[in-house]
Amino acid sequence: MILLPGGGEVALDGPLVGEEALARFAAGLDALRDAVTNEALDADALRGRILGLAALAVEAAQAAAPARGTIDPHETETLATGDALIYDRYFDVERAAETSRATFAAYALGAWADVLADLPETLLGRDEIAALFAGMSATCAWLGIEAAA
Amino acid sequence: MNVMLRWKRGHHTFAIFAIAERAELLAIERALHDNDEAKVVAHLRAAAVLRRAIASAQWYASDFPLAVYRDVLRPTMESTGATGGFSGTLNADYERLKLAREAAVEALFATYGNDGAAWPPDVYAALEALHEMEVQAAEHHVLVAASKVDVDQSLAQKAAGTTHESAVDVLREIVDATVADLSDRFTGAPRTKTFACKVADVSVERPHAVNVNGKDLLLCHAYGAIWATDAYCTHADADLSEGHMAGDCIVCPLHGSKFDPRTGAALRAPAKDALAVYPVVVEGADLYVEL
Repeated sequence: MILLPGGGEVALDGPLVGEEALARFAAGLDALRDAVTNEALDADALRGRILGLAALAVEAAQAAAPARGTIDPHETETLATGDALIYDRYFDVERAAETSRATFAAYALGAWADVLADLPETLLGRDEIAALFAGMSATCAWLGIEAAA
Repeated sequence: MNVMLRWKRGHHTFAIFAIAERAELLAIERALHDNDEAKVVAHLRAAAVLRRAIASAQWYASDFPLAVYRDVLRPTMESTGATGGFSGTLNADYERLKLAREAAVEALFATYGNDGAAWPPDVYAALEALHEMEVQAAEHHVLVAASKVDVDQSLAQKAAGTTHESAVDVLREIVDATVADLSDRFTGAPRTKTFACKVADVSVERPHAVNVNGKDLLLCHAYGAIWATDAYCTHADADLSEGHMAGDCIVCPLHGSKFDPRTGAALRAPAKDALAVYPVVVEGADLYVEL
């Protein structure tokens, strides 16, 4: 399940939760993205590096977990109605009027931990993997998650 | 492989990227208000990265064989009872992203106008790059859908009783509309700086021919600088690089017409029309022309 903002709004001014673990994930993500883009990693090496990043994502998701919002079913049904509600429910999406960046980061890292653990089992090409990592990096930058030195 | 987990986590990642891209696009209006071009460019570039990532999230979410989609996943969607089928337009985050994109583009055109030549080149280039990613993302969507439904229809089409087109047909129309969306609005484009040759390649005695982005140009020394003009005489299309310099003027090898390389003006008949001229930029030993 993922909690997403019903109006699409994420408040960026609050503090992050689990900031150090999030920063370690962001640093690992940047390093792996560069490696995928610039280095000739063989399949085994790439698989190992992705699983290493998945472990960092799990740690970050756990550290950020206290920021997860409480689901209010009434609010969800108010924000998404009709077939859009069915669509959200099918994909396990719950809605809140607005989320903080800490809440959004906690759910994003939770989703990405699963994606990264599964990624080596896919048949995605390197360009798709690199684009996925670039999107994660851009999301981290938008949320103000700074990569650890 | 846990197909359902991949399917849903891929959609979650799609939604996360869509929300982040929407925020980047919404921030453009503020940056325009603040007259902060660097921020406008940064937001557009981030949006382009996220749009490409959205396509990758689609590939990830659907990384399984067609038969798995047809026999396992599609029945689970059909069983939800969505009255209008299971269209992607029900994806609230993507629908909001589209609205934010429209608002950002409207704000950019309201600020800079329709003539791309009047836009700050970096902003123009960043918007073009985002547009290219939007087109590519739409093209990816065609391929993702084709890999899952082949020539079949979407659940929304089936619910609507559509008979004459497939899901992929509709997505191809979206690609065409996406391509036309921006290119139809611009009435011009800003000049871009392109490497032409080394400064040392341009002789002081005679004009020098170069081809820049498929365009034949003439470079010459005059008035203590290097100038760029069209390569062919406006009278009879003679190749001016086979002519010579007379003082600070270009002389046509065929009929002796003379041109001022600073303005392109024809100074001696039979040529009457001016040559087009282009800005030259010298950076160290390299010479660039703005086209």
